[in-house]
Amino acid sequence: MAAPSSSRALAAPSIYTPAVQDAEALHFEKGALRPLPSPPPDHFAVFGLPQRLRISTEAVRDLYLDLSRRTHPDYFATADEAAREESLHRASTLNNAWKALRDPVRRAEYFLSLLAPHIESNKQAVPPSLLEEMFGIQEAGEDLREARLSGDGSRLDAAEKKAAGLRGEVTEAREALYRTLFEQFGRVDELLDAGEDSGSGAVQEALKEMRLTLDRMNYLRTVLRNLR
Amino acid sequence: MAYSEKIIEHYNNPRNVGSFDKNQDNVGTGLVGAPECGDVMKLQIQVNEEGVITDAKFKTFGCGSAIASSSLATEWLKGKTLDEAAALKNTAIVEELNLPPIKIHCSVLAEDAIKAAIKDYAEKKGVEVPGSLTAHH
Repeated sequence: MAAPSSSRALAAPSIYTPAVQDAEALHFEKGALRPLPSPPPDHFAVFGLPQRLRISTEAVRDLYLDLSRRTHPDYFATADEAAREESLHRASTLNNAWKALRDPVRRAEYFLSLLAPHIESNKQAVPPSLLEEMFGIQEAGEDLREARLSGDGSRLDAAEKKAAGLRGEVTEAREALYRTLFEQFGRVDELLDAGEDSGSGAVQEALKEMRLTLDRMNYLRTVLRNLR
Repeated sequence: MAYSEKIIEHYNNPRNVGSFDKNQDNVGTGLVGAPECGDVMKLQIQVNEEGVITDAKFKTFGCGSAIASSSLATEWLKGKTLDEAAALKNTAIVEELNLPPIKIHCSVLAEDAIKAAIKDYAEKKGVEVPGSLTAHH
């Protein structure tokens, strides 16, 4: 399915919602739990989604909650052992799928593990200036922790002020990276929608770019955690 | 997860934490990062006229294994020639610290930091980068 063309400067990206009927057919058979096929469906297929990055997490959450209710082990408390086990297993299948898809970073990591497992984090691809920046911020976090222990009020004030400023900067940089990530989601989806094979050069190139964005985000997440 | 006593020892009593002035011409600095976890590691060497590492310091923001790996690396570097230092392999760190498989990348980080520090020094001095560093990449 190609994104519809639009007269606006930026075409509204097509956002995938679950094919509820497919999910229904995957999980139920005449009101009872249908055993999952082998090999088991990927996390996208669990919710009747194609392997795409732009998904409506609201719609997926609604379906996740609905399926979780209807397959809940409580309903099968008096059922035979096979059905009880199936329901337990299904609960964890649904939980794992929802956990992998709900957050864009996790979703991207999962997507890469499916379609490009050989693309590894590339240490050389992160510019030295970013590392220096990260190191400087880590040192500010260390200063802050030491200032807290020092009992020196003015030193603590200065360290807290500096940390607050850096937190603001890192948060902003992180938001910018989220925007970049979403743009890259669009690029990958558009290529796949246009019929490109997931192993094609164009798709793999786009996935490499996405890997780099995720790596940068990892650094920022870590420094932000250490600036508290 | 059970960490080896050596990791815990290096983590609790890290050797050679600190830094040299990176602008000094007898100092080589390597700053590397692990994108998987966001750890950053700075390792510096001080080299004498004979090309022997007289002192080494590190500062690592990361997990216990990353700290232990870089602490151990600085210990090993002292007294080594640049060629010997360039030949240090992460597998030796893995063995010495008994690192679990998911922490092997911490030892790789330490090896990368050593190489980056040697390269920085060699470029600064205009001397030849040890052969084992130019073989890859």
